[in-house]
Amino acid sequence: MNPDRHIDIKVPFLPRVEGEGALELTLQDGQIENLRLRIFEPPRLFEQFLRGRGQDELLDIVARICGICPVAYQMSAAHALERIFELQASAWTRDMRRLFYCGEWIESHSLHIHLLAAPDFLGYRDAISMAPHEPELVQRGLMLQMLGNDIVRFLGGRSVHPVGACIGGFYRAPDPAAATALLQRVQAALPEAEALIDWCAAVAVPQAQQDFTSVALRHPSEYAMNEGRIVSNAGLDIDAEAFEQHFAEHQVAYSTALHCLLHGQPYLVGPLARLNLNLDRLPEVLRNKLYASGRDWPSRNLFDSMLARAIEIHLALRDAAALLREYHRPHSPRDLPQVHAGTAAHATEAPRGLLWHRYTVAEDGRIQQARIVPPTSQNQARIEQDLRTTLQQLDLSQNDEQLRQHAEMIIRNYDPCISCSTHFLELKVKRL
Amino acid sequence: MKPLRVLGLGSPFGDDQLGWRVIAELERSSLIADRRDTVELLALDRPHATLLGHLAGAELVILVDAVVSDVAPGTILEYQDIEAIDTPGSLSTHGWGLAASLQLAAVLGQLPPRWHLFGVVIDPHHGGALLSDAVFAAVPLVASRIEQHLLHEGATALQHSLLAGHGGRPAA
Repeated sequence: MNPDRHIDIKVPFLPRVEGEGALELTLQDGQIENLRLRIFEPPRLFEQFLRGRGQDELLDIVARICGICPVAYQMSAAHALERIFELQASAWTRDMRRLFYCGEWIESHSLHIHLLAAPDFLGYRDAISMAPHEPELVQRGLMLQMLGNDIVRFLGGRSVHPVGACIGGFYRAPDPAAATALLQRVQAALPEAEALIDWCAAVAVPQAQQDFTSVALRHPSEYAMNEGRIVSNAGLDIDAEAFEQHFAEHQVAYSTALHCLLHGQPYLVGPLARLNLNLDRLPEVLRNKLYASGRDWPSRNLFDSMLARAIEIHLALRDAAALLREYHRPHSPRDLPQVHAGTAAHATEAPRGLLWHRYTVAEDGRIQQARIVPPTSQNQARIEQDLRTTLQQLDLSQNDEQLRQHAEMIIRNYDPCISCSTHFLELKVKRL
Repeated sequence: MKPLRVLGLGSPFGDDQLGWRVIAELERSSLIADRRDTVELLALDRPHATLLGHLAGAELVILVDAVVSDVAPGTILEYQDIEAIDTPGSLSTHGWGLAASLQLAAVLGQLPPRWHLFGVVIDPHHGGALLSDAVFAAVPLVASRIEQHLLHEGATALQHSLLAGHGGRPAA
C-alpha cells in the first residue's frame, strides 16, 4: 500500500495530458467567430500549497513553481516578505540578487532564442531539425544557457531549485576565486552575445504591426529587474502595492488559467514590453545597436521579441561582469528578519515578464494567504488578441495544419509557461 | 566527473516525481553505495536542454522519467534507440522534454557512448500531489533494474572508459 495516501492532496489539474496548450477556432465566411486559448498554469496550485507554511520555507517552495524561472519566484517572494518585515536588504544582497537574476535571464532567453524562435524564423520544424544545418548556432545557445545556469548556481547552490537565497539575503557568500573564474567565462561570452544581437537583427521577421499596451517595471537609474514601479505606455505609474486597483483577474470558462486585464483591457509583459518602456535605461552601446537594427523602437511588432531577448542577454552579461568584477565577501550574507504579521506585495521582472506576488503573514511568520500573478497569465488575453488579429490577416482557407503552425509561431513569441506540457498545440477548427 | 551516471528526471507534480523517487531509492542501495566512486546519482527538475550538459563526460548514462503511453500505468518501458522515442514540438522552453534533449544530443554528436532510458508509464488522470499507487509500486522495480544494468553494462562501460583513458578503445 502506498503510505503517502494519508497526506494525499487532490488538486484539479492533469499533468502531462494532451492539449494543455489548446486553441479552439470557429471560422465562418472567412472570419474568426470564436477563438479560445487554454494554457495550464502551475503557480495557482502553489498559492494553496503555501498556506500554513513558514516564512522560512517560502523561497524553497516557490522555487519549485518553475524549472526555468526559480530565481524570479524567489525574488518576488523575498522582496514581498521583506516589505512586511520592514527589512532593508544590504547593498551586497541587492547586487547579488541582480547577479542571480542576470543568470536566469541569460539562461531563459538563450534557450528561447536558439531552441524555439530560431527554428521558426529559419523555417525549420524544430531545433532538432535545425541543429544539423546550424550546429554553431545551437552550440552557442547551449553555451550561453549553461553559463546562465552557472551564474545562478554560483549563488543558489544549484541552478534548479536554487537553495542559496533566503529572506534577507543569501545563506552563504561564494568564494571570491569562484567569482573570478565565472567572470572570465562571462567576459568570453560577451562577443558571442554581440554576435547574437547582430544575427537576430538580420533575421527577416514577419511585419505584423499591432497596437498594444506594454507593462513593465521601471527603475530610476537602471534597467529594472528586482525593483521599480509598474508602468505602461498608456500612463500607468504605480507601486506594486496598488496592482489590484488597476489589474483584475477573471476566470474564463474554457481554461484553468485566469486572465489578467489592465483597466479591463489586454496588455503585454515580457522582454519587448520591458525594452519598449526602458530604452533610455540601456547602455548607450546597446541602444545604438537597437537603433541600427532598422526596426522601429518602441516596437509594435511582437516578432521583435527575439531581438529584445538578445539585447537583454547582452545587458545581463555586462551587468554580471561588472558585479563579478566588484565581488567581495560581506561581513554577513544575510540580515535576519524581525518576523511579524502583515500583508505586502512586490513585483520583479521574470524572463517572461512582470511577476507579482502578494502575501499575508501571521504573527508567527506563517503564510496565511498568497497570491501569485505570473507573466503568462498576464499575457493570456494579449495572446488571444494577437492570434485573432494576426490569424485574421492570413488566408483562413489554409488547412488546419498550416493554421496551427502560424498560431504556434505567434504564441511562441510570448514563450508562455507551459510547465510539464510536452505536446503540440492542440488545434480544433470548426468551419461553419 | 564519474563515468557512470543515473539521471532521475521529474517535476513537483504528481506522478512526474517518479524519477526523483527512483534516485532516492538508489541512494539507499548498498550496491550503489559500493560503487559511489564511479556512479553518480542526480535528480533533475525539468532540465530541458541543460540535460546535454549532464550527458557530457560519462561513459554510460541511465535516465529514468515518467512517460505517457497507452499501456497500463506503472508499466516499465526501456529505450536505447533514439528513433523509438516520440519527439513532440513545443511552444515553450518549459515544454522542451527529455525526448527532444536526447534527439538534440544525438544530432550534435553529444550522446554518451552508452545510454539507457527507463520510462514508467504514468496515470495522466492522477490529480494528486503524490505518486499514484501504480507508479509508487514501480519505484523499487525500476531501481532494481537500474542496479542490474549498472552491474552488467556498467562494468563494460568502465572498461571502455579505462581503455579510452590509456589511448585505446576496443572494437564495438
